Amino acid sequence: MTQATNGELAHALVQLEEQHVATLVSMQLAGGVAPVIILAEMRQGMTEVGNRFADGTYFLTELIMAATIFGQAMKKIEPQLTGEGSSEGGDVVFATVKGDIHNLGKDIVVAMLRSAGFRVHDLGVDVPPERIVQKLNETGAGLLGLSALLTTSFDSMKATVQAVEKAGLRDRVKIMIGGGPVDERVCAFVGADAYGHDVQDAIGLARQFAALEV
Amino acid sequence: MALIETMTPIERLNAAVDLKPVDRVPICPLMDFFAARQQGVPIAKYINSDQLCEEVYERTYEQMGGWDVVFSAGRLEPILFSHAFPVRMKLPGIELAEDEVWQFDEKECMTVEEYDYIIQHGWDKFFWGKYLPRMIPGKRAGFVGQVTTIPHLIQSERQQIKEIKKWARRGRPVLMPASIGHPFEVLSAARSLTEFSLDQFRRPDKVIATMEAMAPDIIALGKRKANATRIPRIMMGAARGSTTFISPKQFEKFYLPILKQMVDAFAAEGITPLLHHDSDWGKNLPYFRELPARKFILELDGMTDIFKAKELLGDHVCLMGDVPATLLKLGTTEEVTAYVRKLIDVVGKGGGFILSSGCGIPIDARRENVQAMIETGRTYYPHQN
Repeated sequence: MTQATNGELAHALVQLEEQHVATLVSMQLAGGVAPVIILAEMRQGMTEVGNRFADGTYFLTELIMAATIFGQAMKKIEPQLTGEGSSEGGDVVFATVKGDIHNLGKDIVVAMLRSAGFRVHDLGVDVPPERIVQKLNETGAGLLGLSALLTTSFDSMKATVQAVEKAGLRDRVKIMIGGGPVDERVCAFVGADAYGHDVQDAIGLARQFAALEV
Repeated sequence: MALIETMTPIERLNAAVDLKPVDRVPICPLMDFFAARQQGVPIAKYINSDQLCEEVYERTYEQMGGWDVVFSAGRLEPILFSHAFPVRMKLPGIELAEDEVWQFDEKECMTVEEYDYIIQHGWDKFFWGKYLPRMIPGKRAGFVGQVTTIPHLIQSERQQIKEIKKWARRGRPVLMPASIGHPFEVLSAARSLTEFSLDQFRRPDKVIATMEAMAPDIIALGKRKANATRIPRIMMGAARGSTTFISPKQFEKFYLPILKQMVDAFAAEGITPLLHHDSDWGKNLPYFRELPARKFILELDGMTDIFKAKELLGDHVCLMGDVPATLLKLGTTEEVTAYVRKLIDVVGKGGGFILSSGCGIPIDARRENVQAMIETGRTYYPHQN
């Protein structure tokens, strides 16, 4: 079994070459490269995509394209993974809060967190606090991400944070929030631990909180 | 010392757009759902009634002491809105509770194959012949069809013209008669953000050809609305062309050429486009110098740094905005006043500024904050000679 790749896959992903990535993944799997090695290289590519987003070379459109290519590759790789290396970052529960059905921001953050190695439990949109608490209990996740686009959802975010507190989980669960109008003022109002402006902020915060857990 | 007013609202607005001195900044808040909430009218009723829209706005206007420019007259007409931004929506009273604001439920409602149809036939034929019938009641929930009919569209325009005349009698100009969409924005809504983002990589030439085929129909609608209402301005609502979504490189390729074409086409007929630009356009700001000076208004929503925009574009275009939604909901009146003063001090310096909320005032904004925004605009102007 081949255990090394030459970086071409990561490079193709960073260049957003959809067909090329698909071909390389199929070839490498057929050629006996360990799925975990392919996954690692795909993640390496996604890290570079994230870096380019952070330095202003790439924008949301490039992230969406990269996440799509990554997702397509994962469909081929995942069934062959034997469990190792699939979620190194830890568990994250993610939701757009009750009363808000916007999913665009949440979806891209979820896709990027997954590509960064987190096991994300995406509860979708318009999610009531009790379902979030239930999922946190079920998974033991140490991180909760809440998204909202509407100012009317700030109250919903606050209610969710209070529900987490009431359930006695607040000490072990860090809460990060994001979405169009979210800023420091909203973070304080809601009682979250941190807020992010964009997807890179979210990944940075998730990594920071995951490191704290360890 | 009390501020001495020497200009009428229309003079103030025109001078601001023309970058000439003003006696104080013109004030033009975007107030729709907030006004309905202030008057205790549930949103489901409000969005379906021309009469309620008129009453609610007027009552709020009176109670808050009035302002210079009425952002729009008539209700937000669903068919026209969809022509500019054909996104699926969840509506109050249908999928949402009676008094909630509508929300985008963004899903693909135009297929990849339909690019060719639009290239061949233009946007109007696709919109009226394929898109609208797809959105009729009973088939699926959506904005169009649930709350309007074509006779209603005609009736709405009559009502709108009546309201514009009423405001004119009171010496108040109406800012714009309708919103149209840059084809990039329109396609992003119709295809969905995700699919349209992928299209820009997978079939860029087709996307560009489609936008080129759409522009004439959209420009024609804008001109028709401006002529029918005799308001020499038209709003172009936008967000997807911002650097929140696309790179400056993509902006140059997919957005700027048609934006220029549209602004030029309106300017040639004496119509001033109001570029209602939500999200962060920061990295694209220098490109706006390529549009004709003093022939458009750039309205920002608090996500773009309006102070930076003043530095880069202050001698080129009138800026409008941008008291942020979050500040109006969660801030104190002192904070709102301080922010508006800063706007007037910096962005209002030398003219070329219209004070407004950053996009719409949120439905749950604190009334005293909105009052503070308007009051500060009315009473504070340090640049008067």
